[in-house]
Amino acid sequence: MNVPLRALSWATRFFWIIALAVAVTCVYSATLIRVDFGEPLMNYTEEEFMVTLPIIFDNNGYYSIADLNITTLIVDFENRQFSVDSTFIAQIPPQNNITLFHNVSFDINEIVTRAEYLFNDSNFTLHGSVFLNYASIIPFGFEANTTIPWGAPLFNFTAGLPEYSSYNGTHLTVHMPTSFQNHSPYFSVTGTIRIEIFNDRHQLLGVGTVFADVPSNTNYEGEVETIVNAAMVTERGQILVFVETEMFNYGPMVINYG
Amino acid sequence: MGETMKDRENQFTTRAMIPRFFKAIFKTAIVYILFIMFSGFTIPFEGFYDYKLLFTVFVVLYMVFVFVTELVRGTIFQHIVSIVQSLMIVIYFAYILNTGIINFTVEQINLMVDLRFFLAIFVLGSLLGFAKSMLSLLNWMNEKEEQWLQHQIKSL
Repeated sequence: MNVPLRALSWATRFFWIIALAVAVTCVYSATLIRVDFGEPLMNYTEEEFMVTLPIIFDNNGYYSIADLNITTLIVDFENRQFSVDSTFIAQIPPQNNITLFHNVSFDINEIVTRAEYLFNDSNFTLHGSVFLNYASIIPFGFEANTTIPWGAPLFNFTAGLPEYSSYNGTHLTVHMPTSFQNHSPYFSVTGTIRIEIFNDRHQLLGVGTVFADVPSNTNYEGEVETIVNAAMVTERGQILVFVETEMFNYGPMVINYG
Repeated sequence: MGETMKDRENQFTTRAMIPRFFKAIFKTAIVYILFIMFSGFTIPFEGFYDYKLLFTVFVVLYMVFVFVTELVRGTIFQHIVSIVQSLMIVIYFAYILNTGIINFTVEQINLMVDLRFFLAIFVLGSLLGFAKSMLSLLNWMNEKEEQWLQHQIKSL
C-alpha cells in the first residue's frame, strides 16, 4: 500500500504545483497586457460615414490571445439598429503587439432620410463588446455601452413668409428668409436651399436657390430670391423648400402662404 | 481497533503536543507568508466580485487545516482532516467560481470570465487529494491492525 500511496502523493503534489503555476502565470501574464486606443479617423462618403478606431494590443504576457472579436452596434433611442461591425483577429502571440483597425460605419442616408434626425437633436447608443480566448483556456469577454450625441444639421429650420418687391413692370422679386442651426458635430451643411413657388392653380411661378456653407455648430441666416411673373401671383399658394447638400437631400417642405 | 489506549494517551500528552504545536505554528506561518507573497499578484483583481474577502476566507480556512493537520499528525484525525480539507476545496471552488462562469460589472462594463477549465483542474486536484487521503486512512488503519495482530501473536 505504501508505494502506490507515495506515488499518489507525489502525483497530487506535481498536479497542484503545475495547476498553481499555470493559474499564477495566467493571472500575472494577464496583468502584462496593454491596450491603447489611437486617434479615431473619420471618413465620410456620399453613402457612408466611417469611424476607424486603431486599437493597439500589446501582449507582453506568456500566453497568446486567440479568437479576438470586437463588435460594435449602434442603435437609436427607439432601438432601431443602424450599424453592426465586427473585427476578428485569429491570434496575437505572446511577446507581440498588434494594431488593429476597427471600423464603425453607418449609412448616412439611413439617418438623414428620417426627418426627425435632420431637425431634432438625439442620442445614439453604441454597444461595444470584446470577446477573446486567453491562453486557449480562458474565454473572456466584456461589454460596454456609451452614448453618442447626434446633433441635427437643420435644427430649428425656419422658412419665413415671402416678401415681395418690384423687379420690373411685369415681374416681382420674392424674398424668402430661411434660417437654421447646424448642431451636427460631425459634418458641415454645404449645398443649396431651393424654393419652388406655386400659385393656387398649381402653376409654377419661379424657382430660386441659394448656396449655403454652414460649418458644424454654427447658425445660418439667409434668404432665397426668385423672380416671378406678377400676373400669375395669387393671394394663396404653396412654397416648396428643398435642401440639397453633399451629405443629404431633404424636401419638399411645404409652406402655405396667403 | 489496533491502537491501544496507552498509544492514544501518548499521542495527546503535553510532551507530545508541544513540538507538534510549534511545528503547526511554523507551517501555518509559511502558508501565511506565501499568502502575503501571492496576494501581490491579485491586486489588479481587488474590488472585483468580493474577491479579497473570498480569497482571505480561503487562506484562513487553509491555514486552519494546516494547523490542525499538523497538530493531529500520526493519528486517525490527520486523515479525517485531510479528507474534509479536500472536500472543502472542491466545495469552495465550485462556490466561488459560480460553476465556472463569472460575470461582474465594473463601472458600467460587464465582464465575463469563463474559468471552467480551472474549476475542472481544481476539482480534479481536490479529488486526487481526497483519494489519497482515503487511501492513507485505509493504510493507517491497516498498519494499526497489523501492529495489533503482531502484538496479539507475541502475547500468545
